[in-house]
Amino acid sequence: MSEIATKYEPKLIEDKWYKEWMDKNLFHSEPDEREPYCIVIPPPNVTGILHMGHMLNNTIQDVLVRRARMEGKNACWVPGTDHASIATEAKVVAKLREEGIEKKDLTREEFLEHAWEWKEKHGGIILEQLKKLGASCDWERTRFTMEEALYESVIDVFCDLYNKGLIYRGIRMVNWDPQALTALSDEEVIFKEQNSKLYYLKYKIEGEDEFVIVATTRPETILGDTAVCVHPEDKRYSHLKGKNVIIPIINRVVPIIFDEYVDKEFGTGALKITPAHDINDYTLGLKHKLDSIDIFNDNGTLNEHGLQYSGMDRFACRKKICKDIEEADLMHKIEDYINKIGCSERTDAIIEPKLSVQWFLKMEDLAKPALELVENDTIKFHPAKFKNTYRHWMENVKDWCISRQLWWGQRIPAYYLPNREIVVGKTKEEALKLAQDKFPNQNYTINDLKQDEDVLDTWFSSWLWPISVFDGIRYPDNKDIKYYYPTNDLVTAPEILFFWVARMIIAGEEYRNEIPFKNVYLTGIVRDKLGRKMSK
Amino acid sequence: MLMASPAGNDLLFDENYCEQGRNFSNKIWNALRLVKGWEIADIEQPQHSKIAINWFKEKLNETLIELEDDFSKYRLSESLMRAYKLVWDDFCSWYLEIIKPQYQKPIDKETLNQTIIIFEDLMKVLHPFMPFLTEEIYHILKERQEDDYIMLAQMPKTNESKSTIISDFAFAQEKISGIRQVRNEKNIAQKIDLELYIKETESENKEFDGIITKLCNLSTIEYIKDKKEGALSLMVGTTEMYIPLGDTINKEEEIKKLEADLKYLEGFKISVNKKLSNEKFVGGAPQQVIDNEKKKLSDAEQKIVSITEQLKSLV
Repeated sequence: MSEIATKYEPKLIEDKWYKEWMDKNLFHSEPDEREPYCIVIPPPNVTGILHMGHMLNNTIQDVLVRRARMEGKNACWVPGTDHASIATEAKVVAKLREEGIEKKDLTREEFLEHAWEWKEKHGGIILEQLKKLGASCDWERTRFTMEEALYESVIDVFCDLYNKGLIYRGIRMVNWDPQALTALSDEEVIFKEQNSKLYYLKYKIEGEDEFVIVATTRPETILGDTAVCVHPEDKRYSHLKGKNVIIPIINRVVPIIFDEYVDKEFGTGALKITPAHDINDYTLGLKHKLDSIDIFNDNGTLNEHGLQYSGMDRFACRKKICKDIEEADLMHKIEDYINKIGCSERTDAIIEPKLSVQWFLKMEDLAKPALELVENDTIKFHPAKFKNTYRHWMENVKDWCISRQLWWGQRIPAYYLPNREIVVGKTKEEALKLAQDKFPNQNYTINDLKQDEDVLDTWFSSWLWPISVFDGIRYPDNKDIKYYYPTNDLVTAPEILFFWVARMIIAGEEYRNEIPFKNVYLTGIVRDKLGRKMSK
Repeated sequence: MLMASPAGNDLLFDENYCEQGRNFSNKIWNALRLVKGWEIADIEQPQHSKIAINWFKEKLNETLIELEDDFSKYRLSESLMRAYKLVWDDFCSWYLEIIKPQYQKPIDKETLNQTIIIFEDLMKVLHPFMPFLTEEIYHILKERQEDDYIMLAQMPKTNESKSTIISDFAFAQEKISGIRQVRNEKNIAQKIDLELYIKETESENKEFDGIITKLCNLSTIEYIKDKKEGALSLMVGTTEMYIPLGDTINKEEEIKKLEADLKYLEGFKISVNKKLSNEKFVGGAPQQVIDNEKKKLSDAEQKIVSITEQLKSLV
């Protein structure tokens, strides 16, 4: 037959068939009497673009969906995008800055308008790219984590967990990103090896001519010191019981405390304790009832507790304070030192451990059944080796810090009352009613309620994804959720096993009493010839 | 790309993967052009085509069962590799070569029909991996109804087969490879006919002789009781085969080549022997390494015997 082209022309043929499949609505699925086969897409960042990792991941999903369809199942692949709170907000802030607009000069509403505009303009590019790959997604079912139904589902879940006593407000040491001005979860912090210095500082013993030498990599934090700690069995220091030392430069007097936490072998065996700026010091501070002095502003500059250094950036302050210490002859020595420093995954800024008030979700009881479901293979991991990673995480689970100091996301539905009490309600009206019921004598009106400024962690919406794409939080008995849930396979990257996979399993247990998917296929990371990661 | 990336393993991205995919698409496209380019004639179906169709259907069935197993275990890269081999090796390199009519000759109707059915099944197997190409070919292979799309088609059904045709044919494939290797080594052009003599054994399966004749361009296959003198011999499994080379090759050159091979092998044998008589080596090396050396030695000895015999028959 002469009409067959001599060469295969992919471009023409791909466009032709994709259009025809779409025109004939062949990807669309509705519940019927056939066996369902369902995959929900790991929602990519709404303003992102396709990278090699997505290519591999979505190709695998398409292979599985197309095969299931050809096996006679009612196949449904639900696409959608994620609002990616921190990443998107950072992009919008950067774009506004280019235009000479600072976020702090905008109201929340104005900023969100810019953010939505950005989303409309750049959103969905990635879905168009998926179409080029041939992805047989049911595009009629495209969802976005910030659209009304999904937003509302997140708020419903927050209220429900709060009412169950699982969500609480706590002062915690968080990983603070001084550039993005938000708290990060532990998983969003990347540790990098760095050449640093170890400074040996001389703390004079009060009323004596002797010194205690303390090693630190962060000499600027002496401004927040509230003790010096040594090991109770360290003979070098046993004569110092009950004594105080004087902090160099600022000459504040702090006690010497004794605790087994100190490693006798490290540095000189004496540690400076700065409860506001180090997680271990914070714990020690609680134990020994020490004050905590927070010396930093949110952007990483020194606040009024920085005394003569206030207003300086943390790194400039380090230089200056070292110079001052040397001039005062209180620097014993400086050594080169390699340590690991936590950096923000998104902005690359060095993380500042910081005490702040955040919202937390209690995880311990929620994690147990979710661990069991994977241990007993109710949910299977492929390859199974990732069960170990999963187990390790679930057995050492920490409470989840779910608040973020951002505007692009689901705003926390907690309202502060003039009497400093908090009410949590789906709407301001509902919250007002709760406030009125709780404090009938106060005659509160709607203007007395002040909503929390923070939004929820993005994962607090994506953990509901397999349920919320079918509107199963708001309408738990609708025909879609009953037919497609539990879904069959989830295809994702091992690096978000905890961020996402574990939490979906938890949400599934809590809100459907059912697993979210039967199998988890964990893909590899696509690397180039030099072994570098090709995503991001 | 998928092929290089089993679940949970990192993948090194290489542009060669894209090229591999492109080559595969072109291979399939060319197969399509070949099949759709044949003229049909009302002629009898050759026996070798009939057998090839039987064999391929069994092979397809076997592969489909293996693919089901791969998918149930989420071994996606293995499944793609399996489908790739089925199309490239079994279908293009073997099946099509067997049924292909001679240049500018027509094909019989039955073989063509069966080939189109097979081609269609292969496209279904490949569809999840290559959605566009397979849909295009599905529509070129046959006129389709308005709403007939490969993406909605059902996977070919499998059956429990007890046939031994796959292993029997595998043996014939070994024979063919052996004969082709002789052609290569002796530089005998494809168009020159060869005669093949096979020392008959009780279990000899002659079913595939037509295929062997066609693919190796043989003038005859004869079964004999004794060794054929003055012919090159080769072993496939326990079957001894003889190919008289006569004037198809340059005797002097061949003798030179064989003598050079012989010299090399004898030198090799001496060096392996030395190694094996070195107590330090034998005492220190793992058993596996020693066994390996011993095997090298016996292989070399066998080859020396065979080359010596060949030389004798040439002189």
